[in-house]
Amino acid sequence: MRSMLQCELGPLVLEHPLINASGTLDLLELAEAVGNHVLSDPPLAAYVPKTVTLEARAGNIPPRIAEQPAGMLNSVGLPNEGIHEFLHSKLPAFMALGLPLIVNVAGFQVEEYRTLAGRVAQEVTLLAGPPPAWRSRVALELNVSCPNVERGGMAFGCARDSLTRVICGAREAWPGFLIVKLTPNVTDIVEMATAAVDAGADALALVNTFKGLTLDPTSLRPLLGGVTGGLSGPAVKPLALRCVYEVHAALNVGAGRGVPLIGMGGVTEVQDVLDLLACGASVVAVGAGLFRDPWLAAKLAGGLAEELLARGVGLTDLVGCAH
Amino acid sequence: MNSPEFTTHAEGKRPLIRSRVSARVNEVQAYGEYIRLRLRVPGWPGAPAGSFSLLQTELSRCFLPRPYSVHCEGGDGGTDGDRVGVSREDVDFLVDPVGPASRELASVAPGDRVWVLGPLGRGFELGEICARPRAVALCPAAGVRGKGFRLVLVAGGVGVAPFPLLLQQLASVAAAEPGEAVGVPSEVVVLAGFRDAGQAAAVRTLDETTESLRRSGVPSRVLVTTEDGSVGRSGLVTGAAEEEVRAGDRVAACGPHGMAEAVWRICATAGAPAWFSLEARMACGVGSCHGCVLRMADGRLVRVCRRGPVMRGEEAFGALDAAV
Repeated sequence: MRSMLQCELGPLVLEHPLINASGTLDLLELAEAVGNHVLSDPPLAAYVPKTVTLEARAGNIPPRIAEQPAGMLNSVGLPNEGIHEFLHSKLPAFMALGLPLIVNVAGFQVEEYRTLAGRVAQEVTLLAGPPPAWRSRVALELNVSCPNVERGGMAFGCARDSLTRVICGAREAWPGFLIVKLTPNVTDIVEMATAAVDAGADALALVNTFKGLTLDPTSLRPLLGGVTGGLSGPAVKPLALRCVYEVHAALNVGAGRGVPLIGMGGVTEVQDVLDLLACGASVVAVGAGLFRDPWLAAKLAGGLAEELLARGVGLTDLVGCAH
Repeated sequence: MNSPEFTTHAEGKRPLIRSRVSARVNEVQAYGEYIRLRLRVPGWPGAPAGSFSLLQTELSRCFLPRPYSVHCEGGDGGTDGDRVGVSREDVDFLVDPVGPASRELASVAPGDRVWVLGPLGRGFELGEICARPRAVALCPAAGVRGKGFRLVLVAGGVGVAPFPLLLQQLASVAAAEPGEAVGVPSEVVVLAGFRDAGQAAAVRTLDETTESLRRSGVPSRVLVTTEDGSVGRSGLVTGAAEEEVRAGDRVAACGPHGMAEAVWRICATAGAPAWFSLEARMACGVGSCHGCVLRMADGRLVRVCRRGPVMRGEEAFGALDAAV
């Protein structure tokens, strides 16, 4: 079963194509809640920790989440311990998980992405030796798409010029595999995807949450502490599919650039995985679905294997087959 | 009843959870407006009183599960193990059908299935709340040495939910040889406040556990208040707390945030250490999403699902002195 699901994301070898979206699974907290077995046998093929920023952040004021029809809005606002604490207290544990690690960083000024990329590269090198020793184990993902911070985040991913500068800076400081996670809140995601690859992205993660708003039903004022929030869950699946489909069509089918895509958006069932693979994703991330079931990615991998057997096809046959 | 695959909190081990499980609805019973569900949860590891589980009907139209306090285990009384057909995997939850997800849960029938992830979170730790007075170094106001203490439970509405399990576990402690660390209260007083008679019917969920407690030699009494005066005393439960809580009492409370804050002011003034089960809008329940944060007295935002839901009054609302 496992070998038929094995796949590659650049130099990373994944047991199966199901991973988590950043910010939707905290393995260390989960282990404290349910037991250390989630660390010895993580329920994913690669682990993407929560976004880390240069300085520690408390995040947005509550309420931070609001259920919506077929999904949820969140306005969490990137709370994290800051890069220093992350590198010292968490990175060693994450590197010991025995599966590829995708460190996710966000900055609030263009230059911060270079700094963050350099700090992560330095620390990983201290722990694991020079880059050739760890390029197959650790990748970096740039979050240029968080809709819930006042400045930075999504702003960088919405303009070709700033996106290019952010990626170029990180590219110079990061000798490993570089993923850029794009926001769907743009006029033309193909333009942003092209710019990201031109600037040095090795792969693209599509997509972050869709900016939305919900009101308190009584006061008719914005319900979330951060006013607007990011929509995720099954409601966004067709929107995310469109993004993956168009980017794959332009970059890989049209221009033949062979850019790996990590597809995500509303994944809760095996059919959602099939759809994203068919549109062009070679790896699929589960996001808000993990809030219902932290083991969902591993379960979907099992379901995907059954589906491949039933259809008599290999995983690579599915990738992009909708085109 | 005592199969070895269970690792219970009472045995000093953290519950081990291997997956979200599909539980069969074994019994549905209405207590006025509230619905008590008895679920057969395969592999249920035993829960600390005050911990919660995420519940969602299998055919739910809601995206997220919802957190519910564990109400009781192994039937209402459960301590003597003589109840026919009741297993340690039978876990009760009390549902107040106020929103779309709770209305789904309140309308299940026996045989339906509900997803359960739990038990989760930190509950009312008996070892701490019922620590012998001399051991309570952290709360100097916790009573006169060697004279024992009263335990006062304050419930607001569906906030009565965690207390049958707490009383059940207290009865077990009282029935066994009293240990060195955990003391047995000299009396348990339950103050249960409701809006009206429709809610106050839920006080009957305490009947069997208060009886178990009495059989274990701990006297108890239940005082009901209703806002409309239809059952028990007329007024808010905080009025009853004002009269009942005195120096040295230990207080455990669960109810709306405003009630909890008011109860803490009363406890702080009286010199009674208190623990509160708090709530917030929650998604994952396991610390991943950072959705369920509450602002603590010192300004920190903490995740209710991991740091709570039960917290000490000082942590949530401020130090004894500051609160007075």
